[in-house]
Amino acid sequence: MKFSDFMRGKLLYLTIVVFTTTITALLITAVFGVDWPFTLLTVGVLLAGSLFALVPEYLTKRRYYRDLEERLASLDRKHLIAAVLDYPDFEEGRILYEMLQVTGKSMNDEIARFSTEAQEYREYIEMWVHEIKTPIAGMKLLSENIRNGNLSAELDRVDSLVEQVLFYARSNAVEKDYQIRRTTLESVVTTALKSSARQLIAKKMRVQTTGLDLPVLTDAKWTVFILRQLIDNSVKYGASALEFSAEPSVGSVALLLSDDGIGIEEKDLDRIFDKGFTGENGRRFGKATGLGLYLCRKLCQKLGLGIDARSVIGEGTVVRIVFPERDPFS
Amino acid sequence: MARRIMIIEDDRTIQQQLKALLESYRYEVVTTDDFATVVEDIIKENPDLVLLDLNLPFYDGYHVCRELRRQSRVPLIIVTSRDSEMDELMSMNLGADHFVTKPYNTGILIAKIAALLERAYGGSEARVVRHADLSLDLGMGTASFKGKTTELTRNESRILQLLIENEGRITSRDEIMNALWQTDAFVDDNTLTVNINRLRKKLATIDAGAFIKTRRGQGYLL
Repeated sequence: MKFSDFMRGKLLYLTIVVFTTTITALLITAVFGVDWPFTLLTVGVLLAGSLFALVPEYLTKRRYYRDLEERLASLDRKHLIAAVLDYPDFEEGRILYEMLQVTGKSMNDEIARFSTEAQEYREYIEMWVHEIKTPIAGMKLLSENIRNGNLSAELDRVDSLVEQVLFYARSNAVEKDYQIRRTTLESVVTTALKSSARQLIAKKMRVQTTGLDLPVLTDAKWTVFILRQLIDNSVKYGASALEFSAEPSVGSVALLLSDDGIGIEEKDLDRIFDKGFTGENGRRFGKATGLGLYLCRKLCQKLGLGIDARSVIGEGTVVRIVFPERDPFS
Repeated sequence: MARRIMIIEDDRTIQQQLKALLESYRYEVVTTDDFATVVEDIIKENPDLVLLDLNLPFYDGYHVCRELRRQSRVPLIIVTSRDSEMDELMSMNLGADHFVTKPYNTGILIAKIAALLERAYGGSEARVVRHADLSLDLGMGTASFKGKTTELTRNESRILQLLIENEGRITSRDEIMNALWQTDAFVDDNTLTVNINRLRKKLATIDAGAFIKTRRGQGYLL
């Protein structure tokens, strides 16, 4: 609080003081015939007194609000300000204090309610996914025993969509349910290809893997999920060939997934990993949810991996996942 | 003698379908519907391998796993819909040999069962499959017919194995490719055609060339 700002707030008071002092001065000079010098002295003392009376108030308030501002600035979660507030020693401050206590409490209650709800919802989703997996497993076995390839393929799709729900729920969780372990690019890529086998075979996809026998540190299950999302996209957007290759460099190993699909428009490329973004291809193919790549990036961030894409329209897309080497033993 | 597998699973559909699947691979299958005495039942049945679900009535799978390991070293695969890292770690710590999550890829499950049985009891048997006078030795990778023998590649051997397992039924090209993919051979359509032609030629050298019949647009038949 600057002194000038404070004084501006006291403008009415100051005007009245000046006004009454002036009238007093005029009165005593004109009516009682007091000498001018004496009148001026009286006026001066009155004005100085009135001004000086404001100083303690200014100092109290300045100290309090400056302290408040500093605490607010240093606070990570601003809505907790009420908890670190001192009890003020002036009346308006007390009103503010009481109000902040009430609103702060109500806000915290609300936040707690929502986070409990979100937590419960997430737990419900996880439980539901695990529940539904038993009937899906039953149906898959049935379809294999009656040798119905089309049914198996549809069930694979249901399974992968259900899996997406699970990973979406997990991607927002605070606790880590992943384990970073040593594995190879080969291992995660072949696992992903095997689980997407039926879909890829049905689309007559030509698949090639080259030079993947490189160690990486990551969670295999999450990485396989990410790869399956990328494979899904390649299938969805017109690829007929898929190549997995590695690009080792200092301090990291990159996995490249190249397809010969329809490609992504330059203007869309920066946003394909954004939530809900479907872009030109999504509009044309009409099946995009804007979730797959968003989840990929989010899970990559959690695992400490980098992900980016480059593309040429009509020629294909290359998605690159960068695995940093963090192993202290290598 | 066929290996005996015991399925501990309370979901009737899965239990029955898994039984049918394993029986089609020529395993003998035992199941149970009484989960109160499941550990005793396993000991009594004395199977060669146990498939154990984690979510069971009465006792959960971990308990069964722990109790079982106190009394038996039987090969044990945990089959479950819980797939957190914790579950996998717990299972391994309690002595399970494998951890497979639902809905499992049956190809992988069958492969794991076969590998585990082989490790536990040696690969002396069930390594040769037969169709009439044609026999396929999976260990050697050779096909024999009336005293003549030819060497097959891994893919050719896998294709012939699948056709013999499906004998009397049409096996589609997609099904063959799927089986090959599960052994890390990501072949495409053209490669499959090449593989099958080579297999036919090799079989022809041992006078067994007429066995594989083509059903146009459907697949192959043995």
